[in-house]
Amino acid sequence: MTWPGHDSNLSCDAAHEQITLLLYGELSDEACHRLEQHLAGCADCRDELEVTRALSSAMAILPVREPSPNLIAQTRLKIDEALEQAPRDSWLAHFRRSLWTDFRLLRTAPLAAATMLFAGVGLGFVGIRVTTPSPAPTSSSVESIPPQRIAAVTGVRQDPTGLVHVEYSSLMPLEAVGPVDDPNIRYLLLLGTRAPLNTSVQNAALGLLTNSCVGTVDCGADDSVRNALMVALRYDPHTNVREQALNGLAPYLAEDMHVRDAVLEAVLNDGDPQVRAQAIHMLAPVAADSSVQQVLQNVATHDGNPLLRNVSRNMLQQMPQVQ
Amino acid sequence: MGTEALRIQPGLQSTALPANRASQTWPGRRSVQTRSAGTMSPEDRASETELIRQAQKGSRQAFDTLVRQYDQAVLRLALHLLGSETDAQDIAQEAFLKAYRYLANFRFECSFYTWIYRIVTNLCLDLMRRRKTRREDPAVVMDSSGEELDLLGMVSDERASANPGRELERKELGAKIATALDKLTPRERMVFELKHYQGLRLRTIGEMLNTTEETAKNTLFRATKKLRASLAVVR
Repeated sequence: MTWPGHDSNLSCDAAHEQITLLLYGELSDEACHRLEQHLAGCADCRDELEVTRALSSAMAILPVREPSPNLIAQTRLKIDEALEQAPRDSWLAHFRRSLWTDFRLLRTAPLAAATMLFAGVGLGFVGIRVTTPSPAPTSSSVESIPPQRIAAVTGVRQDPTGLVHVEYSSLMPLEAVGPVDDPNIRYLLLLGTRAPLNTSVQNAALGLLTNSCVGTVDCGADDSVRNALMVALRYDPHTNVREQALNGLAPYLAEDMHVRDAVLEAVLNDGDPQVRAQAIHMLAPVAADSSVQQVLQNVATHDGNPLLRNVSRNMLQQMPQVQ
Repeated sequence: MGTEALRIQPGLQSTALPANRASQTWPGRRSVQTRSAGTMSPEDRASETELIRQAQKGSRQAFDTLVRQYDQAVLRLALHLLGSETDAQDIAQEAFLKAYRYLANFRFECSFYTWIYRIVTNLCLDLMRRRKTRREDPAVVMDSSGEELDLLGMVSDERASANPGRELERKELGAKIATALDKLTPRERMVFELKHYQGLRLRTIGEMLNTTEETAKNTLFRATKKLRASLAVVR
């Protein structure tokens, strides 16, 4: 129903809501003007205005009380007590402190510190970096941390204010300095052979490890260096790393059957012809081995790469015949 | 509309709109002296920003100053909402403890006032929801010593002694209103409290409750409709 002067663009339902907003001071000037025009021609809505005012008056029965001075004082005391007992540091501050503790420990007790620092990582991502330690990330600068520096996301929660907290562990660049035969340095070099994002680091680590074995049979008390080289030869996706690993395995060929088998496997299956050719040349000292000759015969006869067929044939011709 | 009065038809004087809409005050709505982002002078805001930064760096004194600036407003809100001095005190303590713990996460994307109120309203909503689950009687009001308070007895009416009948009516009305408020959902109750009793802007209410102004507005409409229905058009 439309009254004379009634703004036909404003429904009574909408007018009722605007009356509420009006009395709360939330109505724009333009909307107020439209409401006035509507009210001028709508008795029902004028009645609604009165009812809404009456409701407001009724609500005044429950006034907002100011807290008493006693209540304020007691509350302040309780807050003070609670703050005295509350730990201020967030997990980030604890994490930051523990990293600083680890760093100081590294400088004063290399063995213990290296073990502690890298035992938890155990992912083979650590490389030898010649960098100074950078400040630990804060919540406000988390977006500036490169993804490769983030080790893992360990927790997600939302706080009462609606902010999201994501706990994560990050890699802190540090530096260890020492001779190549230092156990801690060798341990770090071994981890460095598995650094997937930085082949120069891998090569440097492999080179240092293999050079330290030149002229020696025993490269340390355990097989760690040999194993690292074999893993790199077998699994590393980078050609130059596998070539470096082959170089490093040369001293082991004469005495170690596992190494010999790994080199033979590289001759047959490596994806790069250069690596396969290098492996073939490496087998010269052990040419008398029947397994070696069998593999070379196979390559010389059936291999799809003519260069490798030639290399194998040449090697066989230089070899003494097996009795 | 400014200060002009609406031209009304004869005999319909009661329909005149408020002359100054911006300052229209509902009867019963207190004149809120709380600090809000919109009323702070630039100097006050700069001073508070520095205070917050000092507190973030670890200054307990700076944080205590912040507490003193907001604890009365927090108590006032919690007291009227929950009707209990003990609950209001607990809420205030927990709110400032959370603020202390998470102050490092405050990045000035909103005012500190909005931020602290966000914490307080969330805590109050949690308590109201727990109360509804346990079906506690919200009309029972306690003071800090655990004694029941006669909330309606605090309604000021200088003529009470002269007109006991009217006083009884007011108390009955007060009980009805308390019951009607209790029928609102916690969220509706909160929005109505913040708008009607605390006098905050709908936009600010939306920020505090992590929602939009439009949603806050619709929640307010639902609340007022429910109250109207419960109180059966009180005149």
